[in-house]
Amino acid sequence: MEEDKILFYGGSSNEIIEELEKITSGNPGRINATPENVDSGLAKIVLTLIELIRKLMEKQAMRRIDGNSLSEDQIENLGETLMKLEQKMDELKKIFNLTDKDLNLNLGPLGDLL
Amino acid sequence: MPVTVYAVFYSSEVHDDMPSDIDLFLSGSEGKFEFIYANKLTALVSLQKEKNPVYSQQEVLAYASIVEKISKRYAILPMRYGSVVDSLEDVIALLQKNSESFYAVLDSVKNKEEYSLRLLFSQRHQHDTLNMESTEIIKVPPAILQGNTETKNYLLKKYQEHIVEENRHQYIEKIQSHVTQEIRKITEIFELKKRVTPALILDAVLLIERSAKDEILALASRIQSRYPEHNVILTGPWPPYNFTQIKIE
Repeated sequence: MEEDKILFYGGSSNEIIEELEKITSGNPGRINATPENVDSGLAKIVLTLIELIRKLMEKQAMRRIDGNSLSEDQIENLGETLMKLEQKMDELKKIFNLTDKDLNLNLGPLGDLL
Repeated sequence: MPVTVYAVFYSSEVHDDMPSDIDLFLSGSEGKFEFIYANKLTALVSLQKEKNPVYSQQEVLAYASIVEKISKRYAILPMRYGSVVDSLEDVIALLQKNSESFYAVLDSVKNKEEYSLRLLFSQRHQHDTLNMESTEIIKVPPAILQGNTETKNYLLKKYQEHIVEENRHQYIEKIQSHVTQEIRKITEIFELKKRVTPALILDAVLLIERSAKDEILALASRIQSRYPEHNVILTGPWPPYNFTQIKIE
């Protein structure tokens, strides 16, 4: 960005520069499938969708805790399910050499999926 | 020969204020520029030198710089980099087919400029807030999560993260609501863009009268005074990219 375009800034210039770089660099989270990497390309799509569903389940669970609508048995069940789901996701991410950052997709004007 | 289109504006503005030499007006820019007229509209164009040009960041910046120069002079509909048509006749057809949409957009941006106003979370403040809130939650966990089992400890950790996130959303919404009210004092033409990074509290683009530059500067200063713990950044003026989006036929 041209310097004369910055009319005003307050606070930490280092923090501003760092954040603006993140905003303007865009998200590299695109599926780059080629014949050589089709396995990991597909895995990335599938795991991203699973991660999205897992996060939605987690949010729903937190709402139910907030609503105090769970019994002792249900809370144990819920905790165990979410915990195992997270562990399983970690295993799959390791197998396909993916990180949390990889499990995101840029949906253009809609922003990031996760 | 392919033609690059930079911007469209009312011909009357050019006639009232005709630059004696377009190339001189766009000095420093490579290429031979032409004004193409149709109906009441004018397009600033240049003939492409090569049939298959190499696209580079430098080319994009040069294109943006030309659009910028022309927007300082006229109320324009800025085109995006890569707006190329096959011939000068196609430029005329473009102006004729879309004239009504172009008039409407040009009327809406007349004598106005675009600015970007962003409010960013201070990392230090964010860190302090999160720590403080987490500590508060640990003190009083929900009754259902009390008990020292592996699953409850796991859920409690998730619950803390959830509460911190909820608090953060509420905090951001409160600031957004206040800043939006402040923006409305200057203009009703603005958009809040999606927050693409967690540190972004507010990302607004505003269209304001060219004469209201001091007001927007004062607004940024007021917001910074109100939220000294965060970072405000105001940039502009920009060509009205965010307020001239139409579907071209």
